[in-house]
Amino acid sequence: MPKEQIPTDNPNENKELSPQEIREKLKDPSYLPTHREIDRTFKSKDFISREWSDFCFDEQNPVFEFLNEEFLNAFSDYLSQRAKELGASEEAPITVLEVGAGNGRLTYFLQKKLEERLPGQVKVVASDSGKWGIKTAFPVDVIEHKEALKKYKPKIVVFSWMPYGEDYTADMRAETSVEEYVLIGEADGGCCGNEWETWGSSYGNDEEVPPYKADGFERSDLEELSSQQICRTDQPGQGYYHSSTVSFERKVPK
Amino acid sequence: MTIQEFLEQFSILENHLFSLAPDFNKRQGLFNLLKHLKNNNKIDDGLLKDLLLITQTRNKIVSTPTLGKDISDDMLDKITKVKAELNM
Repeated sequence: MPKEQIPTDNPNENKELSPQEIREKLKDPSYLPTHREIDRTFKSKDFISREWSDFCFDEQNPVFEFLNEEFLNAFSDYLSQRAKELGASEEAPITVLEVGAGNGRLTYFLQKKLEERLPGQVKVVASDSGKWGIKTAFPVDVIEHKEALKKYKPKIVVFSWMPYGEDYTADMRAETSVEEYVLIGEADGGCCGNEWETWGSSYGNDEEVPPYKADGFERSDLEELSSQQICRTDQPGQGYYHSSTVSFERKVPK
Repeated sequence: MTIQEFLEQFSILENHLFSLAPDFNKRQGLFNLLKHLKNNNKIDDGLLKDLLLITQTRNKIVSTPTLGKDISDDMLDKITKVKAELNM
């Protein structure tokens, strides 16, 4: 049985949606497709299909990470585990801050799924500088990342698709409340962040200690999550491997 | 050369480079693949320099919200040269 089919008493609810129907549903930002639905809808033998690039590079609503049910479930499982380890409770909920949240869609789904797993114990906040003028679909605090870190004092920070060549992680590490930050996107010389400052990866710097390590953080590539990801630089039908999820956890107290 | 054509050429090039190291985990990314190919003498310094330049151009393009229209013909020349050196 295909993954998105859930057995119900209503035979119509078991009907697999056609690619055209899924395309229609994707216009609603609160609709979270499955990995398979995205694959079926945009699958192409072309290296870069026009339909896929038109969808992902849309002026009004650009898509960087193509959020899907499986990835959000895996990410929520991971965050709920980390929240427990960091002492989250109803009396003392922890804050997860998303920086560079764009339209706020990732935070919206994370909050929903974390509420199912740890009711009242995790507050997820979306923040964005607003510099790219992306239309917000969900609540987003329009505020610079440094101000957001000071305002919300998060234990965990999430940044999906950090702008190319720029680095915001030094500011995250400098904030004493932050125990971990999780980066989503093309790592290590891909199109997100700065290859050395952000990822600690670069030609000619092999002897040097990466900035995150120097600041007492440890890097873990979250393979289980990454295997569920789909991003704009993938092409459905050609494989999904460009984007990944990487955690940087504070090991040496500040 | 349009951006769409450039991205298509880049994908063809990327696929070819990954085929040179079939056991390499693609999720480690093109940058680490290039390091791997260089360390295994599959590409030389000159080719590596050109590939890094092409990759940086691609990174700039795909990291912006929308696609621009055209890219300089110098980049087309660079891709053509690299493809020839890789016997593609």
